[in-house]
Amino acid sequence: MWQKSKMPWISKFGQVLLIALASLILPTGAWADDVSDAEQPFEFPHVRHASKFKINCMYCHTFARRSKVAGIPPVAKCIGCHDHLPSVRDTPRIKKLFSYWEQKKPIPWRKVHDMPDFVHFTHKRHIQRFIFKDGRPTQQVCGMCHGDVKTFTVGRKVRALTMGFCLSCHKQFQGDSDVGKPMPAERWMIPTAATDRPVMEVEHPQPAVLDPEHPKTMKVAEVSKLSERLPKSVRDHLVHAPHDCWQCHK
Amino acid sequence: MALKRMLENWSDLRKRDYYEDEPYMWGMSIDLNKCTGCGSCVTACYAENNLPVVGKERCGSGHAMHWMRIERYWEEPEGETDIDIEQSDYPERGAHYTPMMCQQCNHAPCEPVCPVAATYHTPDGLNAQVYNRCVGSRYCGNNCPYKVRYFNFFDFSKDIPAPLEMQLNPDLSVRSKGVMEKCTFCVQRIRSAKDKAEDAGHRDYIEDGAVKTACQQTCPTEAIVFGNLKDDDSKVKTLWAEHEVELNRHEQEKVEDARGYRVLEELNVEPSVMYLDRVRDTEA
Amino acid sequence: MKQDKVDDKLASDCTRRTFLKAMGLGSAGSALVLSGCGDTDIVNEVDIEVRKELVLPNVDPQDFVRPGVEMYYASTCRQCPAGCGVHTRIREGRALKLEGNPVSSVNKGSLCMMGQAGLQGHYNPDRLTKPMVRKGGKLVEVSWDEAEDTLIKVMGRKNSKLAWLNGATSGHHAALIGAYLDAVGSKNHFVFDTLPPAVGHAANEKMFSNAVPKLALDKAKLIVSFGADFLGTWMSPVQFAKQYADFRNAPRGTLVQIEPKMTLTGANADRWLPIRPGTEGHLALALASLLAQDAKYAGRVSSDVLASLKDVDIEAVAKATDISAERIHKLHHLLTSHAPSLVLSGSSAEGFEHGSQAANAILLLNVMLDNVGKTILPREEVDFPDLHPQLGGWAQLKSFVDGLNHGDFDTAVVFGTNPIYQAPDFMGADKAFAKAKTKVSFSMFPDETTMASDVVIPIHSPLEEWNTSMPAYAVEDGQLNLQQPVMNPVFGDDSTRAFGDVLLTLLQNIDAQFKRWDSYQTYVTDALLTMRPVLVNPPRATVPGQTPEEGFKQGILSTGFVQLKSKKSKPIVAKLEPVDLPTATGDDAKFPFHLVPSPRAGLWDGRHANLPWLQELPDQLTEVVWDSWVEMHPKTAESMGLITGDVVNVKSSSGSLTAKVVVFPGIHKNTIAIPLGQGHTEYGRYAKGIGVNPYKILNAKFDKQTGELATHATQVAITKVENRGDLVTFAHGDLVLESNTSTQAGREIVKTVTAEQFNREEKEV
Repeated sequence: MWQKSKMPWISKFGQVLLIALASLILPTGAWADDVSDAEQPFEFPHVRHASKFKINCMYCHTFARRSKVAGIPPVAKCIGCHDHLPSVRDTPRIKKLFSYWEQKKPIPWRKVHDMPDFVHFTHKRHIQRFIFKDGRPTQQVCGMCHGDVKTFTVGRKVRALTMGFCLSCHKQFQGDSDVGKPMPAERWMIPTAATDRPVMEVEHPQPAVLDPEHPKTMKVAEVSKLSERLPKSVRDHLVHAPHDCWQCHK
Repeated sequence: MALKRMLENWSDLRKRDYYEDEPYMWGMSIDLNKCTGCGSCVTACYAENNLPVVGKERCGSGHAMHWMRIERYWEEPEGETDIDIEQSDYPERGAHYTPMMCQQCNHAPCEPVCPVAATYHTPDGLNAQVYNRCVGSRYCGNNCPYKVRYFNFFDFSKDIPAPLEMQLNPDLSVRSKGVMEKCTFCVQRIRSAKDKAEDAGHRDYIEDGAVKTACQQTCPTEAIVFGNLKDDDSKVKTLWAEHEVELNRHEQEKVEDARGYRVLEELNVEPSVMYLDRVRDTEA
Repeated sequence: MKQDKVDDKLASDCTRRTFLKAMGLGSAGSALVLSGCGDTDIVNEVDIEVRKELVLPNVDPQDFVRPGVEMYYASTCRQCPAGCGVHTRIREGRALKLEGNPVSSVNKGSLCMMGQAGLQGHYNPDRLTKPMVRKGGKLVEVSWDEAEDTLIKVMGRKNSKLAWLNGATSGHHAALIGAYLDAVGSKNHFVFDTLPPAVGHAANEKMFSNAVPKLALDKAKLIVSFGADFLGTWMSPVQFAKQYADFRNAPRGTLVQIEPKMTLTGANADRWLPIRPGTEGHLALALASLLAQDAKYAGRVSSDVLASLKDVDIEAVAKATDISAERIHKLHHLLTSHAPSLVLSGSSAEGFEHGSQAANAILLLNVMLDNVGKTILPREEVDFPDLHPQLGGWAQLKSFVDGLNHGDFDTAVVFGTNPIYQAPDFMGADKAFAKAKTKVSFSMFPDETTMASDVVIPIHSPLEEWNTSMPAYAVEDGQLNLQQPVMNPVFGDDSTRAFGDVLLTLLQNIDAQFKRWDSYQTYVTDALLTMRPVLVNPPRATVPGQTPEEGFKQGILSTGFVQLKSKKSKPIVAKLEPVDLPTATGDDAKFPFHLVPSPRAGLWDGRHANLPWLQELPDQLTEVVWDSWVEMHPKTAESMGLITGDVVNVKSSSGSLTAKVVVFPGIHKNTIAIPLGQGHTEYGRYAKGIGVNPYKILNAKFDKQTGELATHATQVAITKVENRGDLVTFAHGDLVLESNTSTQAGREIVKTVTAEQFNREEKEV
């Protein structure tokens, strides 16, 4: 029936158009949580604070180094400086800031970087590792995920912050102790993984082992060669990125 | 190409204990001499793990979401028993209680049947469930000999009236419809203990007792002990050793008087929970 | 919701917010979180879809407030009178979990299921959030201003006809209630709580001069308990469970439980003996007479008591109690071969017209066995009698109801108890209550009594208020527990108020000297500061620059309690009286079954029926959820052609009710048991309309000595109404899929070893 029916060219064109349209819409839908243009109570100029006055990110986002969340600065923090800055006291934004302060109410900022509920992400571990242990510049480290904030006014979401984005680091930097081991989720495919007594006799290798994308077959040689050549002091600085699912999925 | 690489690494792939060098292997011990079957652990688990209350009708359909439950039996198991059973119309030796939750099997029957690898084994010996990966085939639940996996047949979280939702624990997700869930050995507490250990500069060592599961924490008789089986000084490891229960065995060598056993051990699922026999004074 | 609208909303919410002033804001773990403006207000009034897009910073937080980092605040559990210490886990200004306070001598870090579920009372969707006043026969919500005016009109003046009824209470609530009643010139103070064993306390007082002596379960080699469910619902379950755990360590103690319906304690006994209800005293007397044959035991009691033990016929007792003579002799042997032992008397032995005498007979065993001073120890003397626990009982409820019936009271105030739900129908509590001209209720929930009142004052949950309390039973004397608000009020500032604050305002209207405290918090703080000299190790300043007062406040808040100095009291000298028990009567032909109204660890006496976690927690014995049921022995059920789920009518001479049968082996054949806790006609969505309340059909029988209600003395008849109702039980256990089986179906899930084997193994270890 289907093959025999003659389709008018217009409907064929319509189908093509639909698919084209869908391909435009679908990815947009997938990024629906990207609220980079979120309307904020007022336009906070990151550019002035981070670029012109070179204030350290952690001066305001003070919880980043000791909590899961970076923290939006308390209103008192803003006032702490702006109380002593009469030059900008009468600008519209600062007036608005002080009106919140006087009413003792929080500024209702819109979330920009919002992780799904099932994600456990901790700022602390990343900041402790890259800024405090490795001594990298703060803006560079924060910028890995948050973009070049010193050029922004209000925060914008510049990275997708998808699992793939996280894995682009976590898969690459497995650290010494993990070299040569497949990703945990893939390990279950290997019957003898856990103990010496097989759960069942398996004659043939399991699918994961044949998978060309298997990390085992992709990374071992390169990573171990790389780390062997490095001096010990550098090797210690190789990132040990946890790649167990339950590290980040809660 | 892939095949060539695979052949090159063949011996590595056939290697046995991948987790040998891992610093952690979480295990538990439950003393049925002390457990009174009161159910405090059950409620503590509801409070800690965002478990939904499903109501009478759904309890009747077997949809109750108690990750931890108390099994209650009236009679000794059939066959040889250590205690003489007198004929009576009454259960004069009381009830047989046992808390039952995910046994975190090391040969977990639930893991290989998952079509999407939403359940897998973590390097520290937990049987993980990745909620957003789960597609709800329920193969795992059906393959579990302990019946400790629970399926979200409905969007239970939508039924929580305000302001009860303020109690929800932000450290773990509120599961939605179509997802399988189960006891995690309070992985959020383990995660936070690891975080603290790393702050203190020893990521490979968590002090014994620094991480307590919710059920262990609340137990009025301290019947539940939880800890790291790879730490020889931990309380749980000492108990396992004292009661002669070892991992990597599908049958323990029966030592006289030893009270330790693992439920349904004969299935060779390698559970990480050791139980200690219930005790009754036959002189009474 | 548009941005500006959210702004407006937030602005209006926050202007009326007044922050609680916290004591000792110094370091994490000791004080109240001032968690930024607006958490609870926003939760209550801004739609969740808007809320989840927002990220609200604190306005001016304390240094220790860190989003994403949890903190623990010490407080006290108020779910039952036991008074366990808790640590509340707080994140972002919300209480998330309650855990036991490890330094509290009551619970040493553990908590029971009711304590865990305290959070669901705190966040309960059915909590009262607005004051209500009855207008034109209906309760209508009014503003706090109007409610306060009404309250001052009703309660803010001298009135000797005011009657006050409260549940078990202690600490500064008790002190303030006392002060209030003195100020209004009323002597009508009644305390009513269902489960504290009033008869047992009276018997202990009489014999040991200690109403609540200290019990050392852990020191005993043998515990013989006549219906004292110390692991489930008796006095202080968590504390006893801790002692029980020690008792079960090698060398393992032996527990014998004697009761008509198996309780949680019975389920853990080495020997559980089903006894015919009402004959516990007779059995105890028989054991005493066997002991008296040996001069060693006889020498410990006076001759007139010995005389009353003389003509006990063991065979006759065996017949009356349904416990064989052989078993009585074995019990006698157990008692003589274990020392020290401990004999306990609980509610199923005491709930009869001869309850006091039964308790007398049971406690007598302790004297003969020389347990006094070994496992039964005297309370130490603690000052401040105003703060001591008031547990009350049925007799006081009866006086309250009688007073109302006689028109002695024109104003009735109820706080922390629910007499209209609890009282049996014969008392006519609801009709009597309606006779008072004005009825005031201080309550968190719309319970039966509250809904029958004229003025309803919604009070804070225990997690929102300052308070102190003393445990109803404590191993360490003089522990005064503290409560602090662990978060801002759930429903915002304009909704609920602390009971202490409302009462203090009333007091200030009558007695100007109370004006020196601006809130109940300052009242409590002041009181504690004054008590400093009589405290054991009062905390001092720890941080440089701190005043001693600040250091003290901070210190006590992080511990969660203070310890009052106590004086060692003299050892107990038992005062014995001859036991006078009526001859055991045979079965009543018209009402062949004894009714046991059995309390459940979980729903307690019904006060926790509105907590869904506890409704869904299976009963420990029958594994039934969300229901009421009639427990019946398999043989009895078989003879009546009943199976689990059948609906029966249970009829006493005072009333009847309908419930489903659960065939249950742990019950005496001539007895049925109906659990307490259900049968609410109000009390919110989770409790209303579920099951029945067995107290309702009790007969008007009272203990002859104390006047307490004889809760276990009612006999009933049973008729079948229909086949299988919708009873939900987890009784089969999921590991054995066969429905209603009691076996382990060939699998070794729980097996048992002997105590001898256990002691041997533990020794090797």
